[in-house]
Amino acid sequence: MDHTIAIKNQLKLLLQSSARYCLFSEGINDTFYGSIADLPAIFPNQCFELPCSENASVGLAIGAASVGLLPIVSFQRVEFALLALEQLINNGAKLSFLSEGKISCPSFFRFVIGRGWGQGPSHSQSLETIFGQIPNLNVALPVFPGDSELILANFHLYHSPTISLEHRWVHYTKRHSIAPTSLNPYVVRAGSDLTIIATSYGVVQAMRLAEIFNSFGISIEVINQFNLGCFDYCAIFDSVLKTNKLICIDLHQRLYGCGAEIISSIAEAGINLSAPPKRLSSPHTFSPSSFRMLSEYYLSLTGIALAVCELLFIDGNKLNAILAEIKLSDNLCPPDQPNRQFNGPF
Amino acid sequence: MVTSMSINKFENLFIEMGRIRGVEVALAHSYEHQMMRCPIHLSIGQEYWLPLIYCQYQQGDRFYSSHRSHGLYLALKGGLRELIAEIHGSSDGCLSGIGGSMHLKSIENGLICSVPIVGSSIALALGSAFASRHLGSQVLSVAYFGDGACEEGIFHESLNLAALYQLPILFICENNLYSCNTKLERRQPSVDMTRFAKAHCIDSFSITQDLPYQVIFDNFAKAYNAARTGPVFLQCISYRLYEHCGNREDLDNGDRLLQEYESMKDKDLLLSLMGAYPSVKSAYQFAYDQTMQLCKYYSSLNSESLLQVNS
Repeated sequence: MDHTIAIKNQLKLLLQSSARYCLFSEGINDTFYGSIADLPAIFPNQCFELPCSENASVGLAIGAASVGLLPIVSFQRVEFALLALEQLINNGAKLSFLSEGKISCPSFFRFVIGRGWGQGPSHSQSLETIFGQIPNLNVALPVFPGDSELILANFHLYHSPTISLEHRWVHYTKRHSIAPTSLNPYVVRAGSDLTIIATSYGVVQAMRLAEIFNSFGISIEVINQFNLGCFDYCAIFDSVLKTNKLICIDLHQRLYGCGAEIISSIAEAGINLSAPPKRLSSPHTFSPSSFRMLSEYYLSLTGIALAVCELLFIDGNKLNAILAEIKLSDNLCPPDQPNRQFNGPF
Repeated sequence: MVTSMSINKFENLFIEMGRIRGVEVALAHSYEHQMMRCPIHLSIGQEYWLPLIYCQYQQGDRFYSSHRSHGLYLALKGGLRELIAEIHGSSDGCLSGIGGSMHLKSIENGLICSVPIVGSSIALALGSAFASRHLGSQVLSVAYFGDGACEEGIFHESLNLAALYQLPILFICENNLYSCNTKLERRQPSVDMTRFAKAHCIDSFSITQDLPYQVIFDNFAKAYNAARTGPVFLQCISYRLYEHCGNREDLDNGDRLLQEYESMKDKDLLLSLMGAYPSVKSAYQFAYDQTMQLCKYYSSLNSESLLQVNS
């Protein structure tokens, strides 16, 4: 079962459980990548079409949540949510603060991050740190079905909005054997030689890479950061205390990014690494549209592998053998498709 | 226009206007001591319609205000001490000093929140109305904002959504002709805010203090009650006699000319009501004295705290 079906099933459970749950989307009958397919027909009184009014729609959801509804709003791309930052930050994040906890607004916002297939500079940004900097906003970046299930099942307990930044390419992930039990970062693959901390699609890349390195006798631990709001650093500290080597992969920009935050916190905690940590990300610009240029922009498995090899002093024949293996994996699919089965336009 | 000054069935409403004015004038007078340490947005000059709110209010109705919320807070019978304490940043304020003058709240009296970002609270009222309709409750949601908010995108988005979903919401647009110090004519091609309601197929009403008070009362009642079944837009044309933010009359800067100001001051309804009704005058004076006393108390607390900071 893939991630989109898991989201749909979870949404169905919620809609069945209480009429307080409502779905809102521009194009409510367009299935939202299959993740809400059939739901408007089954729950016609809980599914609502939205006009192109992102800010008022988010405000409506927050206002409705503050008096008892549990709205779930979907936007096709994160960039559309930029039009609604005003409501998210001015009201969503502050209603509870400005009522001394008397008013809460548990609401759920699904913003999709595009990649490849011509998404270009206006359909591919994740912008997670913009949301992550705001007190009281819960900002999750689900990777596996269990991640989405956890945040969907629990958002009604939170006093402020939950934003799920759903990478279009993690819609295809399969259920993972390790599922989170909280919003804290968690180890998705145990290892002992080096730690990679990533979010969203970066976790998928790190997992693939760890698999390849494993066949060369190198053990990489992968941590799914999962949430950008307040979280417990235990899993991260435990991991780097064990491996002493760290690579952070930023989904968006490294400037003021997640990697910067994590490495600062490790330094503040007084943990000494055996080699300088690395931050990897796309360059400080925007994604081009043409598939020909994509590999210049996005971080490739090869790019991550080179950083791993540098930290672990791997060179010569072993390095070449690893890179050759990774190249095979990188070439399994064109750079603008998550998998061979993917069909456009979105 | 108040036609009969001797016996008037609206006398209690005029008394309430006097009370609101008394509080606000006292706030303005106390402000100069610099002990509130918080911006204030006064509604002096705009009170004529405020008492009508409580005539129509039903327990459970939810109001969402803009920054200029003292008047609405008082009209909904929010506590005076809690208001003064809040403006002075005191922990016994209506929001324990967290919100200050721009975030007044009195949930038990129906003022759910005030948001000082222009137009921002309109969408919350929209959501409240959506929830009412969805849950089948009879609660009316009221968005209170000014003519400046009509220049915001969220206002137009909200009118569209309210009309689309036929939500039980009353949009009260207080058109006081100025946004900060800038005249309406320099911001919009028309001074009539009801045109936006028409564009979104929403019924609209308009009141101004020049109308007989019976007409004002009836229009307000009609708008308020019609909004329980679908969106309604009510324009309250008024005139602010004080500056946008602060305790002075703002003739020094901006678009307001002395001639206009003086002619509006001559038309100040409260002055004529206080002249005609001793009850209004005494309500004004009582509220003024009470507010001055409270301000004095909270000022002295602040002044003690400041001494501690300085020492």
